[in-house]
Amino acid sequence: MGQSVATWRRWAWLTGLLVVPLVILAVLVNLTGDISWIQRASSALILMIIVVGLHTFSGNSGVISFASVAFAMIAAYTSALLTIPVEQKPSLFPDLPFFLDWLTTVSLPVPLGILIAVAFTGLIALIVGIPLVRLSGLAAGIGTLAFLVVVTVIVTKWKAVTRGESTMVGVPKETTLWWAVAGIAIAIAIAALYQMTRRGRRLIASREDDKAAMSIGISIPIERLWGWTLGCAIAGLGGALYGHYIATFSATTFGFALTFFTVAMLVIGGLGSLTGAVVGVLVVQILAEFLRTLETQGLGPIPMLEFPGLTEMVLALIMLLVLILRPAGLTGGREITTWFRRRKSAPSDQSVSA
Amino acid sequence: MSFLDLRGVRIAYGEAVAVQGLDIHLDEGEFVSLIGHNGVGKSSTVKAISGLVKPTAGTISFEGEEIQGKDPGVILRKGIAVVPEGRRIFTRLTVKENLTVGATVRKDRGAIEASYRSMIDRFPVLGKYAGRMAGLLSGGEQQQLAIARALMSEPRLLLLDEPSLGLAPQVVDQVFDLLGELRNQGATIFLVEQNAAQAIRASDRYYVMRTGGVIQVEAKGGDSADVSAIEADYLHFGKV
Repeated sequence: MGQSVATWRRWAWLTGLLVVPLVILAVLVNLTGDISWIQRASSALILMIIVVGLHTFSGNSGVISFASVAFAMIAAYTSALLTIPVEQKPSLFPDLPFFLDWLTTVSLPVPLGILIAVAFTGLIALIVGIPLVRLSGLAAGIGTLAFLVVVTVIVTKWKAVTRGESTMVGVPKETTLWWAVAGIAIAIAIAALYQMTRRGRRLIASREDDKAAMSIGISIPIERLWGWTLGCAIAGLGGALYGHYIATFSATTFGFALTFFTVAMLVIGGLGSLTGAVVGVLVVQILAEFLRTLETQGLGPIPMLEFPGLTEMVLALIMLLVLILRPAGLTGGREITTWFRRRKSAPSDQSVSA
Repeated sequence: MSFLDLRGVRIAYGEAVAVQGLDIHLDEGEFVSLIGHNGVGKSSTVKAISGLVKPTAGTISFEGEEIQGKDPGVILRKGIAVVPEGRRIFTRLTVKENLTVGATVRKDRGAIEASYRSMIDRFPVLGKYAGRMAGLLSGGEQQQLAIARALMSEPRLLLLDEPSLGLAPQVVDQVFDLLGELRNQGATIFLVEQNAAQAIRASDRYYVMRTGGVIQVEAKGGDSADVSAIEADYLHFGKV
């Protein structure tokens, strides 16, 4: 890709500083042997992949998207259709349209199914991205939300292929904690590399000052299209892994609630940085687990709170507070690497900030 | 045929007319300034030349080819780069990244790297802080970065919109020294400035613009130019 040695070094540092703690966390959780903790960690890591995908577009472009979960849904269904055992397919999909008839004879290994699902998601993203990336601000938010609605309606109504409102069953349940760890490591490595390449830098430049970016010849729609396609494909990786993790799912699994969660995670962590995406997921997941425990069984001396929806409400309030008090999120939109660099070079920085 | 030729240019934002009937020309290798009060349409003129604003009437020709209304990227590829008002560097990118994104319209990686090397030779402070976030630079250093970023596209005409704005007087001197150097190296420069005295002295010719884009004066610049008369008549800056 023609990146300089310094760029590769920065990439390795950013990827390492984000991935290594997650691996350690996963190993520790696995050591406890507690199946519910292992499940929580696995789903948090998979969710993190979707949020990293969302960051890859929204974080670098400054344009909000509500469509990541739609792409996660597309990938989950695609991979499911490709990997469900052949013998189950006739009973699950008796009315497949003629152009998808070949699916009844196909049952791919799960990794291959996931890979094809990610590529297919990227292709769909590329096609719908061509008009969508020309929108900014409110229009972009509404446009991506509309796409989520369209995908949800298709998945709910196209019974022959998606089983409609019935649950998708027979999906090989192969995603483990280690698959989730591998998935997030790949997602972070790709997202970190993208934002350090010239293309990524151009998208970040357009986020900072679109007029200045245009005046130096940056084509904002083209750069957004790259970020959008890559981000949606990463969200697709998360979606496909999630499908093989829960094994039974429907359109509601990937609905507005999950969209709200992923956007809240990115906003709370910090929209401008990959570190923000990772931190946001960790903070929100830990908080959500705590609130859910309170909601359903109480915690230690605290009695169970009869308050359905407490988790979503508290998260919404926190998101509001973050937006008002710290719009750049908990990380201030900075990467973990700049914390180290700033500490290392603090004295000389003062001489340049006159 | 002039290098850059504006004829009857009109720029309007809805009902509000910013520039009307503007005629300006510039030859290759010339340093021409456009001076005038805040709000007379100077910045709109620069934006129209660089493609950020589409003129509602008139023509803008570069080397005989009409470029009005074309996209900024297209105009940049033809060889016109702009240093925007307020510097508008990318504060969250490093100094080096600011320079390399400045070369977006060029393809040859090796040549871009060579341009980067020559840029940090010319602006040593940018080389010194190459790895720093550009937002950490001082105002004067940021202005150098904005000029260097524009030069990274290897333009044949450099447009500068108020490069002295918000800078300390000594730093303004440095910026004008730099423009003088570029001019001596053969660069073609079109400068838009409120700082009339320094702009007039630095340039070969200058135009004075009044409200609505009416050109009042087209005169010879340089050290011997009668700056005081212009200031008294049109600008009332109070200092030379």
